[in-house]
Amino acid sequence: MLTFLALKELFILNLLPYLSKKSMNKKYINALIHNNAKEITSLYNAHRMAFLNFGKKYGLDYDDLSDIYQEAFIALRKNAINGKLDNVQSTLKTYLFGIGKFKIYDLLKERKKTTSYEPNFHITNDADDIEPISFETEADELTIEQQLLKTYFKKLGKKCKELLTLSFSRGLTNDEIVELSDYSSNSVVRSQKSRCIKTLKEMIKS
Amino acid sequence: MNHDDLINKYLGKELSSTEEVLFNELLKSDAVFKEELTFQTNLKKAISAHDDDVFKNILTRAESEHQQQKVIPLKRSFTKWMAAASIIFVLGFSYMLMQNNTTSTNDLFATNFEPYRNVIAPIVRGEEQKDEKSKAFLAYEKGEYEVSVLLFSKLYKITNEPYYLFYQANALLKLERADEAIPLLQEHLKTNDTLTQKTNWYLALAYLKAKETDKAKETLRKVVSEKSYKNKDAVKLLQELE
Repeated sequence: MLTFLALKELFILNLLPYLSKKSMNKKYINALIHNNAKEITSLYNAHRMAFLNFGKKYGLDYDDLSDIYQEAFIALRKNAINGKLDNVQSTLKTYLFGIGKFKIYDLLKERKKTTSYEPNFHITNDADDIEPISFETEADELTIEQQLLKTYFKKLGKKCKELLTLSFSRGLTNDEIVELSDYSSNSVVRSQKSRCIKTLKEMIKS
Repeated sequence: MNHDDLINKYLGKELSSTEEVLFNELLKSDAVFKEELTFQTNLKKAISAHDDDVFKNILTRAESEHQQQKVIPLKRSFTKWMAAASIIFVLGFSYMLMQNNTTSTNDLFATNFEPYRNVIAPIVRGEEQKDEKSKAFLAYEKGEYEVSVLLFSKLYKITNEPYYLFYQANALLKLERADEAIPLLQEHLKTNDTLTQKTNWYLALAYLKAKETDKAKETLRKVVSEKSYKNKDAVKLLQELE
């Protein structure tokens, strides 16, 4: 009896939180951040049909919904890079659908403005329990300087491109880069990075 | 703390409060620091945009596989297969005809188009080229058209010199981006630039590349009637198009 109680206690204290608290798989978050094509494709395929069916009830067509599905993925990745997914208490699917729902509302609102057509749905009476998740869309286009930098960046060697991408786009610290790559130390990363930036600057000057 | 590390932390939004004080201090007093910060902020934007492009390509590829699957018919009856086969044959045949047609306008474009030479800022070899204007034309002459497009566009915005429109359009045509070149050439036609009498020839070629054959012909006729730049080539090209 005692052992049973002890086991129960152990279960409640230690295991239950893991079972009830949904959280996002770190593996997926990293796949998104690091553009792991295989993982991303399989995530994309895994929820695609369900999302299209989910969106259908809002009266949107296939093309709209597959666009929204892609935009939701882009937003998901942005949040992965910003570290916003680390403390999210839901599964990736729920979160993805939440962003998708927000986007669907956005599109419907926009359509309502431009046409007098009244869609036959009621936003307030949603049957599903997906909470819409808002996200900012970055509308700002690249300035000409930034476009130029992008063009030159593409001409850099593979190593430099990888290193600068990890640091500038994915926001990894030098220590994190050491962990992830075969650079031996923080100072090697640092000097390699400044060498790459120097090469880039020379390309621009020439 | 090293300036680079400080900028790094700033870009990663990881500055501590003491570092922030130092950062703001440097921003006010040190012009080199400020310049480096601007550079790296722009670099962050540029690299992130490139990284996003890679991600979007993965999604597009995944989506296109679904789109392809959608079209494959799975019905097994023989007559349906026959019907499908004949449709495919007809589609394939008309596609071939269309391809033929497009290759010929493409070929005509390719044989006739050559980016107009740089007559604005002659490049002197061995001389250090510093200003953006020479940089733009140097890129143009070296065949780095993508870079030159961006620089011409920037310079046009600053100076309003019509010839930048003309050269940007030429570089775009070389990059096979006729759709973007057309509005620039139309804009250039409205100006009184010394190069304006050459614009219609390039506009005609741009229409040709964009498969707007009627407009290409119409523009070529203007080149002929106004006896402007390349009017003899225009006559020949018109004959080939008729």
